[in-house]
Amino acid sequence: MLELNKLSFTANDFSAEYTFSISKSGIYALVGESGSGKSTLINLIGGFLKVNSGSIFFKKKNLLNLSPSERPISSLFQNYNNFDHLTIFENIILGIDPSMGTSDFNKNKVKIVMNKLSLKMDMFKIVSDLSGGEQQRVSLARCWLRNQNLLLLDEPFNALDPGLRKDLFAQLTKMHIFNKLQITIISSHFLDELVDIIDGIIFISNGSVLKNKIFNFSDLKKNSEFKKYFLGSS
Amino acid sequence: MRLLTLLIVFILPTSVMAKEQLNILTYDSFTSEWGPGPSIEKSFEEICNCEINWSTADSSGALLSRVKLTNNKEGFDILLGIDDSLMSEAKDTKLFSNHSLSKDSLNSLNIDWSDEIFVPFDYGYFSFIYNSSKLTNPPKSFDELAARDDIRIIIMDPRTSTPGLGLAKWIYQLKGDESKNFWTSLQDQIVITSKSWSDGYGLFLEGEGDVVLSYSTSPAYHAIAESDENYKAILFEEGHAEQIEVLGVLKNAPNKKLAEQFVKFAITKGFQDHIPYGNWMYPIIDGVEGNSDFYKYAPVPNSLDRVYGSAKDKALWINYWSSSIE
Amino acid sequence: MGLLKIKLYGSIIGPQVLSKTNHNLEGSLLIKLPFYFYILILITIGTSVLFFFYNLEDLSVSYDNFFKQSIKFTFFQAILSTSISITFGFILSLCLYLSNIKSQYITTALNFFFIAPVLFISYGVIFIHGSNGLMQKIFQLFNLDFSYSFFGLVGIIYVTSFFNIALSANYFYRKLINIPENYLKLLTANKINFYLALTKYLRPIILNNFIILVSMILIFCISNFTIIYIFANSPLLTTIELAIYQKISFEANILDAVVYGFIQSGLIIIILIPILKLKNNFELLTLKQSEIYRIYKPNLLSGIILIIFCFYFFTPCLVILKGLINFNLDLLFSLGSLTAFMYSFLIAISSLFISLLIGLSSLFITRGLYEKKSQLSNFIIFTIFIISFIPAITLSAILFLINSNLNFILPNFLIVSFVNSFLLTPLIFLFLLPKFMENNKHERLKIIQFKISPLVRLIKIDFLKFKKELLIICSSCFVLSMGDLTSITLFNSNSFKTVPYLISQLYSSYRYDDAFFLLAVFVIFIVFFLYSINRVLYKNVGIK
Repeated sequence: MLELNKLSFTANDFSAEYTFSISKSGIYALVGESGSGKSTLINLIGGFLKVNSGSIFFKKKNLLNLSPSERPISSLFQNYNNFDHLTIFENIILGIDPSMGTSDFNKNKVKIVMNKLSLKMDMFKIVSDLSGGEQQRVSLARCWLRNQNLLLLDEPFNALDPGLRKDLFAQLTKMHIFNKLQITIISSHFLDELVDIIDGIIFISNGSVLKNKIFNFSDLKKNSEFKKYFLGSS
Repeated sequence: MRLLTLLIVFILPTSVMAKEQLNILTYDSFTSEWGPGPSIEKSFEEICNCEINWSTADSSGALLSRVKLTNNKEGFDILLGIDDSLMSEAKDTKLFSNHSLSKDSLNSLNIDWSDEIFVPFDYGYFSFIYNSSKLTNPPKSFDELAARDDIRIIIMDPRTSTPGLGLAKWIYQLKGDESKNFWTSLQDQIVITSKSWSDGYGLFLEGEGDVVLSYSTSPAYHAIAESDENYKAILFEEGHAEQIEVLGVLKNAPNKKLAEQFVKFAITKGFQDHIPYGNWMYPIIDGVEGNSDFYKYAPVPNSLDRVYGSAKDKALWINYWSSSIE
Repeated sequence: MGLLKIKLYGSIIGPQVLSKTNHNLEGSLLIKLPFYFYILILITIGTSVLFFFYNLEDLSVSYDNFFKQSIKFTFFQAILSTSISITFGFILSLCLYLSNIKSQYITTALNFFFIAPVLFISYGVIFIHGSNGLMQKIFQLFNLDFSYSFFGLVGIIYVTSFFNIALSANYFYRKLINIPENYLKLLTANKINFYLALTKYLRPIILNNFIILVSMILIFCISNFTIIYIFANSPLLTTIELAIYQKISFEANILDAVVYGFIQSGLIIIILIPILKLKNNFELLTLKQSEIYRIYKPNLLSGIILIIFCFYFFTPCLVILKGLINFNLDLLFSLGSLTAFMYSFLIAISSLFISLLIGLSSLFITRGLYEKKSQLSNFIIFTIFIISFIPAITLSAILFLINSNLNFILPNFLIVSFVNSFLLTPLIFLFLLPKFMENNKHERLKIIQFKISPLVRLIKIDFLKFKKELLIICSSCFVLSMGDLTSITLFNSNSFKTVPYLISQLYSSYRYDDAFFLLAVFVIFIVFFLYSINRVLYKNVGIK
């Protein structure tokens, strides 16, 4: 379904080329050392960086011809996911209605998705008043509302406690089932926390996908480079 | 031994030659390269065995304030360049001492002069200057000038410049109590009121106005120094106000004797020779070189009576001007 | 038994005693000294003025119509120019942000236009727009009869806004460049257009601490002296500073001048009171390294606006060409110009040195107060602003008088440097403030933990933190001081003049060719100086 073929990118001292394909829908982890090119890959798929050469096909459609807003993608980042001075309602609804109109239709939709993510507070509360976990759930709610086929997450829950993180991973899975989302790619260092919910791992090292394919955890553990990344040198 | 002799030969004369300094405060155009200052300096230094140290203020109006502010702590010997309208105010400061010229020397001047403190060094008449190649039908009277809406006028601020004050005096001399109305009728044509004569004249030369307040002698500069005979003075039927520029010795001058020597020098040929072609004003003694050409381009206009304004008079003239602005 | 008591006692009071001795205060007083000394000098000047007035017989101050008019006009032109500068500066910053030009070039150019000597821009504008200027000559060439007079309000606003538009454009541009990348990604992924993004989503980022920009520009406009002096064509177009100058230069009336000065300072204090309510989030406005998230593209309108602004900013620079044509080596190496150059350097270096001392000292005090969570930190910022606001002319006159009463014990250039430092100190302070405050929470803990003395903190930690910013602001202040024409107007004599003053004297004497040549040399020197600084700053590939 998602095919990347020799997708290459260069900037300053960094260059990368990615090739892999995902044929089954599911949640996939994107792991690798810091600076290896994880965020770059997510940004390239999302359309936020300019590609040098290569191709991205999603369900046989060439994504490179489309602008970020035209691609069937929702994204979540490590920080700055919400506009702190806006309300929860506004941050969620901007996913489908940039003018943030407060029609009953909109309010209803937001209410439903807030419930799904256990956000029980008043939807017109300012986001900066919320806790870290609640703020990330608001952004997740926006992604849920957008209901796109490809969900990209770039180390989204790093700053939260392990318990909260676990909750949010569970929410992700729920989202995945609910929306019949087809592909979720989540980049994270907490692979052991993700292992139970993912359908495959994309391991990036030195700007390319290891062996250009998706691994499962047990196979990946046999690889020496991955062992060094995951278990350390000792 | 030889080195010592050499040193003595050089050092001794310089110590003997350590000259007296004469500090003169004047306005900037007097000491500029094309002003009379440098030549006067040369002439005087030949006879005095001294050095002239010029200091300048931005305009003639600023000269008096400079010494008033510090009671002449800066140590000027001579103030050169205030005019007859400011004399009364200058005397009130009590910073000036009487000049040492005799009545006979004063009688030799070509203008009547009897003041005990200040000595004149040149005089002129206020007039409006225009470029005859651009303004082909100049007005013939002051009233006509005020009525002509097509003419853009540049004047100076009476509070900061002596020509500006001279204009205020001139209008009062002609119109008396009707001065305010006259000023009002003039105001719509006044495009620039500059701080000093040099600023205003420069703007006129750059085309920012059609006529500029200046002196009847200004055309002589353009004709003689620049060979440009287009600039002419408008000569009014009603008559022109006079301006006499004076110099005075300060009471606490550090070099009193030298200063008095300079004052005596100021009414001699050595100084006055440089006035027509240096300061472009009329000299105060007769028989100065090159007069004929000068008077050809700067004919003396009809003049009004001489007026020595007191501080109260000055305030009155300025008041008529300022009341026409609001 | 006694020993036990002491031991027990010791364990109770121990930690408190420790926490007191944990603070290493070595060198703290030395660093705070310049600021306190500065305030002391100001108070001394203020009281000596009162002493002077005590001896005067006539204490009546004249508030004639001209003075009332000057108050009205000061604020009218300040508010008009500020509004125009902020609006156009913002529009310019948007167009620059959308364009493909590298950010390094943009901020360098805007910075140069802000610190360019006032005389240079004024004469440059006259060269283009005067009745005998380039525009008129072009119109005549095409037989167009379209004449306009630039002297008056139009000229004043046009030239004043030149510098302030450059400042506000720089400010807004840096804000735009520092929008977090993820916000940009969010905006583009959700197809939010530029207008909506600015008005709804990014507004708090752009307007954060906006009041500082407004205050700075208001201050510059209110203390406008040289521009008003050159372009005012009527006594009604006068500012309070010009009125003060007149009172001193033409009426020798110090009492009026000082009272006017106090009135101006007082009015400004009222305007600046909102500064006391500043939120203490000083964000950094660095030039970002990556420009890869270009989501908003330029369009025809932004292109046209940019062209118009290029015309506005670059045309006055043509006066340099005119100056270079009139090459005059004799003038350049004459005693007069060499003296002028020497004094300009001397004053620039001294004033920079003074401002740096006071600026760093006040930054240090502000940070200390901020770390103790004291409201006084805002008060220090307020004081710095007010300092820049005391009319330079009044201050110059007071210092001149004090100096003359002390038989000219202080050399003139020192007084001029001191007056110039009033303008530079707030700039240094404000520019370095965000960087100074950066990471102060984490740093403070380490400093207490490792007992690092304030002096060591300043030299070994702070200096390295803001090395680049320090270089930028010092070079800018150096240029500003060299090009200043305010206090030198009162202090000049035949042997003491600066380059701008010499140029204005040549210009007043109609020696236009010489004036423009010297101006060209002066500006080229400044450009060369700034270029060298730029090379040193950006010699590493990555821009920080």
